[in-house]
Amino acid sequence: MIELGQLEAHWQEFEKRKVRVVVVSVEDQEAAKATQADFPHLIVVSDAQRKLSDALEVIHRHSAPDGGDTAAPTTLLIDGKGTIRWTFRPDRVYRRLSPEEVLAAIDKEMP
Amino acid sequence: MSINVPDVPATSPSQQRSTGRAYFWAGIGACLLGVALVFVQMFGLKYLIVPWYSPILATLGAVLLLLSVVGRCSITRIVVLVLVAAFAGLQWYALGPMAKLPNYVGPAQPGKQLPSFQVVLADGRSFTEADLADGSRRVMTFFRGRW
Repeated sequence: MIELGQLEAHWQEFEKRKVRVVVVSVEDQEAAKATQADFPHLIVVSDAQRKLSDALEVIHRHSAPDGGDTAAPTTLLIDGKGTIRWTFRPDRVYRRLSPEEVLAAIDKEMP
Repeated sequence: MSINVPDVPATSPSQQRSTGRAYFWAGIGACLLGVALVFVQMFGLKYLIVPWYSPILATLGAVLLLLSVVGRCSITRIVVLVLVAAFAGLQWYALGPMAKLPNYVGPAQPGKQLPSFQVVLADGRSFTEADLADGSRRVMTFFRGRW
């Protein structure tokens, strides 16, 4: 969850670009509430029923510490019409985009 | 006239005992340093980079321990060498093949709309694909969870 802290720390950079940051996990709403409290400038989504994660095929099976499924770290840029402009999926589970990389992608793909 | 000079060892007994000892402790230290740096990075600095230095340091530790075994072979040194080498191997595996994600071939591709979905925000409000077409630009990031 370190990546959420990094995104939160750069919220002013996202706001300057008029971009909202939505973070999604397959955890329940209670967990989403706690995450929202920790990162107030992010928009936290609970996808406990996996409607979004399944639709986008981002589930990584048996990847949670308890053997359950989680969403693979995936980042999308979505324009104001709901069209995907850019997708990032790392080749390793531990790889994350830094805020600087996300901001650079926004500047390039959604100037 | 000849004088018999007794054989004198080139090194003192204390020097002989310390053969490879520096390698032994340096090997353990290198391995532990990698682990300590990972903790500092993840929990202190909260900085996300792949800690390649940890398996590299563990491997260096194994090499140093091997040199210590060459200097003086003992059960303790061999056991520590095996443990550190196994730890290094485990780390390489964890950062390599075990961490590989399959290539993404799903529907979230540039130029496409998101499929229909309905999820909830932290405050309980509904959030659907229609909300994504309200004129606001978004970064959507999937994360594993709070653990």
